[in-house]
Amino acid sequence: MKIKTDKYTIEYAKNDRIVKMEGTLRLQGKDEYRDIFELLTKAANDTTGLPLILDMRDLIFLNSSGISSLSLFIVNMRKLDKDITIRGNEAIPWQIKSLKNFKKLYGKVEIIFS
Amino acid sequence: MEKRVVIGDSIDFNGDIETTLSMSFLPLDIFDNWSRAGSLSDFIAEYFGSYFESGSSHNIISTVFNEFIENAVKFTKNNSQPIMLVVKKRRNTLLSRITNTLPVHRKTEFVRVCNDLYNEDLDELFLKRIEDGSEDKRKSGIGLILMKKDYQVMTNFDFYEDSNSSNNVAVTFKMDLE
Repeated sequence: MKIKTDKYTIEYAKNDRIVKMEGTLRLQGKDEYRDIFELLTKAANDTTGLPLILDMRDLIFLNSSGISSLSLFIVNMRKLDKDITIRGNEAIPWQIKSLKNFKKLYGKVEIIFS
Repeated sequence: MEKRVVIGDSIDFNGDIETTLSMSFLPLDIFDNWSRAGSLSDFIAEYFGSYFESGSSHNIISTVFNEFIENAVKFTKNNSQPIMLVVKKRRNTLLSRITNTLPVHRKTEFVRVCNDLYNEDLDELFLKRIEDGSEDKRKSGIGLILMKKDYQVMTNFDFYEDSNSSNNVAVTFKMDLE
């Protein structure tokens, strides 16, 4: 399952439990993030027992609407008591500065920087 | 509500300025193609980034400007009236002022969002806004919360009426870079 534009790619690999996010995500608002939100929700529903992995290592930009939408997804994961791992890139400033917010929303979020 | 309301940090926008860039753009163009906000931000980051040694400056400048430009466009009253943007550099600091029109009914909620930035614990405010699940970014102010909380950007909001009795807001912000 893949959402691809000239700015970003979101790809869900069911067998690996990984959603890989690449490029620049600066959409106008939550409505525009709906397709991505639904892809993430499907991935979460498919995943039991082991954590769902969000690989953001190549996500260069994410605007606050994107952070809001992902935060709502994290809240839903908390409600479902599902584990989640976020792979981040310490060379990308927004990730160093803002990924920690997801952990504050849900203590079971594990963030691994490389 | 008072005609003039000023909220936020005290920022010296004029002293010891080394270089300046000014531009204006139409909100209509951003609404027509939202990625233009990012293009403008990337341009500013490219223009000023080389003044700073840190390799992360470009990404940080672009991220911060994108948030403030998106915010100005979302709050603007008249999509055909230019938003004014000025960027200045002073030593290891970038300063900017973005000025746009503001509909009367938006002024109240924008003032509330700005007051929250200075009266609430920002971590708690962020969590509260997310848990509220607000569908309207203008009401949540999450972009501004993140700029202040995660990027330590100093901000000043000046709500005023111009000679035509139109509501305007000048958002001045200051970011320290390495």
